Amino acid sequence: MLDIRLDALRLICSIVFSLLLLLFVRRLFIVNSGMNRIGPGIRRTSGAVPVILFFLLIAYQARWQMFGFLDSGFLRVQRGFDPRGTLIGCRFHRGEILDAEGRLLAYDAHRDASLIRTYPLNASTLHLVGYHDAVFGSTSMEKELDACLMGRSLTGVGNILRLAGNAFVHRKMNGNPVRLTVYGRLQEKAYRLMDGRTGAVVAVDPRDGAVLTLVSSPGFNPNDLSREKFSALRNHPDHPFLNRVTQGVYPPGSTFKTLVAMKALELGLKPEYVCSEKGFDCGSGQPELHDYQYYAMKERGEVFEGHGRLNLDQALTKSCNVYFAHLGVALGSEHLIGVARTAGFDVQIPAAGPGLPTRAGSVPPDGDISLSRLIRLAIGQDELLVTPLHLALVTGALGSNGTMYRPRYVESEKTCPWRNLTDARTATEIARKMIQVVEFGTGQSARIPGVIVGGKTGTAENASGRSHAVFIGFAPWPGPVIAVAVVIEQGGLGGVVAAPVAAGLFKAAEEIGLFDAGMETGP
Amino acid sequence: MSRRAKQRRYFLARSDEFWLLCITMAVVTWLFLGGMSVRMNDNGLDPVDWLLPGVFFLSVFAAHGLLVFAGSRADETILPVGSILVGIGLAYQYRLGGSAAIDIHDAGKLVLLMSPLVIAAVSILFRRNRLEWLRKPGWFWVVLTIAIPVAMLFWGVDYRGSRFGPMRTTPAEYGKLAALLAYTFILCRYGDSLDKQRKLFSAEANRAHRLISAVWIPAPFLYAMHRDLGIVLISAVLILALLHTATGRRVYWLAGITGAVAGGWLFRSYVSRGAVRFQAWLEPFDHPADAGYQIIQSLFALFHGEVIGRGVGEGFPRKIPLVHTDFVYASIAEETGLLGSGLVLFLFFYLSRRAMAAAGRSESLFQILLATGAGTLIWVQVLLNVGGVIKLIPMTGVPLPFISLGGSATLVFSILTGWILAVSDVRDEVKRSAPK
Repeated sequence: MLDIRLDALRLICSIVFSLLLLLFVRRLFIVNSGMNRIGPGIRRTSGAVPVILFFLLIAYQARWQMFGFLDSGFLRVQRGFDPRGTLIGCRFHRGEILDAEGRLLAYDAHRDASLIRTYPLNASTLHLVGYHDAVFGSTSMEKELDACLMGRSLTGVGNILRLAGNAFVHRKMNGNPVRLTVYGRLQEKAYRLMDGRTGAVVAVDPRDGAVLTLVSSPGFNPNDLSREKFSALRNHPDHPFLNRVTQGVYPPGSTFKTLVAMKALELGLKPEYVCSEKGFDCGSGQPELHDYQYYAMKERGEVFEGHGRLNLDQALTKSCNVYFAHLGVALGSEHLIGVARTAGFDVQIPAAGPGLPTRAGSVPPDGDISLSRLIRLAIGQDELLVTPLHLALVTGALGSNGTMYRPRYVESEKTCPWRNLTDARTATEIARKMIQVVEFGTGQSARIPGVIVGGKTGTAENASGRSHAVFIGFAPWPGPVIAVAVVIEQGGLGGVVAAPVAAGLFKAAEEIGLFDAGMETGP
Repeated sequence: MSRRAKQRRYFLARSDEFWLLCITMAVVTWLFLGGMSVRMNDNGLDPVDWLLPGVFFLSVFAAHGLLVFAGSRADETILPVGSILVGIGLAYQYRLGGSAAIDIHDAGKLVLLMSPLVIAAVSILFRRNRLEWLRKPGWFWVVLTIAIPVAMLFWGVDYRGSRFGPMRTTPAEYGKLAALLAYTFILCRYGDSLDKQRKLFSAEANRAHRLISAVWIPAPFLYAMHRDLGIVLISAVLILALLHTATGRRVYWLAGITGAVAGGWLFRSYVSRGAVRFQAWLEPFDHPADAGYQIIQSLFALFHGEVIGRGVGEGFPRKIPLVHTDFVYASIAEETGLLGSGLVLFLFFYLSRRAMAAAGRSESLFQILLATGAGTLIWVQVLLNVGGVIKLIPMTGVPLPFISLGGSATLVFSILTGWILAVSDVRDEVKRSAPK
């Protein structure tokens, strides 16, 4: 009983203190005005400086004392380091992050009278949702959505009044929940399919750019971060902090052939070439370009006989390097570089609303390039680099009407087209060829029963060792609702390693019921 | 006129001061009560504790009596403002106390209780033209300004990252007094050649510039060797303010700001400790457990205080490292809120303003410069301390005048306030321009 009263007594004590001080200051002014004012002295003094400084100091003090809750860094650190946590820290609930089905991806849990940010899907949402920690900062969507999650957006009179009231007494504040376009179930599935391998899986909705899955592997569990763990992760050779979907750039490899074929169709080219076992002669003493089968069979002691005479359909289905070398020469570097620029490989992808920042890929500079570089460009190598997210957007455009949408992370954001890859007719034609790739060609392991899937495999050579396994694909046909890009670093053959991951994801999407919705609203 | 009637007139002439001192006692007593509630919880109330406000009460009114009996016509607001700041400082040190901070059985701390008396005594000692005494041993002050940091280099003691004199005194505080007197002396003697009416870089002016640099530069340099960054800044601002007042040229401020920016950049780039301090200042939230820990705890305290405060004794001062010296203001702000701490802040700047006003009324250049310098020392220390506590500027380890723990610092500021009071005593002039 006495303790409770002591609080109040002490508060009264400090208020009386302030009031008495106020009285003192008032009295000072009265005395001051009564004093004889003698004109300015013979010397100028810096009398204005203290006045200005007083107002500066008091304003900046108020910035913390009254409006500290507007500073997200301050509130974040307060959760971990303020001993008054139970009194004040817990009054500031951060909004939940939900997936497209309303499942929790991140929420504030009460533990030992303090609030702990909790991530129910553990490592699988790490690179998408990020983490929000007093010591380690905040990342990814936790960072991008901060203003909304903390409920301090200065819009609307009511909101501003609420914040103004909070400046005087720091009342309880609840942030706003944010619903993402991502499916938690797909997210978990994708992370499981990666099985700790280094790489990235991303799925977008081709119709509006909604991000359905975004997984970078390896990840780590954001729920139990500690200093030791953190420094160990920092020095981990696989760089678990890197978001490979948006920040990792890879050579697209053979998946780029879809764009080369698209360019050829746009120009009305449908050539046939004889693709012999000798490969493509680059001239000037450079080694010939061969198909991967040539090397594979050579290793087994067999002899590759060559693909023979191929048209565009067959070449894409078989992913014939020699054919595309011929086609690349026929198109010329201008068109090859042009199509990569049309797809925006060299620019950062802007998101629709808040979204993860992306790294720009690279395209060789305009101008003439040597023959050996030209044909490597035609098969998606050379200086061509792109993020997995970008590949997914390209796939989506090819699978639908040729438009690339800005990736959309937050459900309430409006759909926003980014750039036009091609016209709808050409896109459909390429999509049909991609379906053949999965039906009869290199991408057969992406097949799932009862659904028509389109895709393209890639095996991207790189300087650091084994080839990266790449797969891009969409499902179902007609009217795809999901476009996927999978990259597995140094995984080997795209058709063997990456395509099954896409198949697993398509299956999961079907189970969730995404395809049913797609059928209803399909084009 | 009978002696009695004369005394009565003297008292009436200072009646405003009397009432202000009454409010001072009320304010300080309230604060003591808050502090006592904390002490009661911690280790029980010692009856001797009551001596603290009691002796302070006697000291305050003895100071007032001294001024009355001396027939002082000095500014009536200065003693109350100085006393109330000392009182708040005492009460807060007592409240923060625990066992280590302030022990009222410690005779050294009694100096703090005597501060109002020191203010009054100094002002009477130096009143009217007796301040000019200080001008005579001018070269002695110059030598002392440089000798103090040199002596500390040899006989100083390192304790908790700072350099102290023998027996953990802080001679650097007295160094400020010496520097103020030295700069004032030099500017009085050689400042004419720098006057606004003349060319800035005439041969004569350059001689003065050289002399001022020769006196000013060694001391901060030596203090920098003691890792005392605060006093480097303080003496820089001091000399700039005095130059401005003596010559009427604003260009010195401009040069000073340029120098400060350049110096800050060098400090940050080439001194490892500087980089840490800037990191703690600019991005404390990225380093909450190490570099930014102290400042973050201070900001939490501010935030917790809201506008009216939590109540004296309801804060968590022990969470802030070095709360007694550098961060008292954060604790005051937590317990008395933006309102209470803002008023305390106001009092500092008011005192500084009164110093400038006293300077403005004086006719002696020496006194003008002395009062301006004293006022500048007050605001610059408050700016460096409070600015650091609220994260406006990097921490420099400068104590808050009158309030931070430290006998030497409080004594020095009491003397400065005494001088301001002495300068403001322009009795003859008041007579000449009778009130309307």
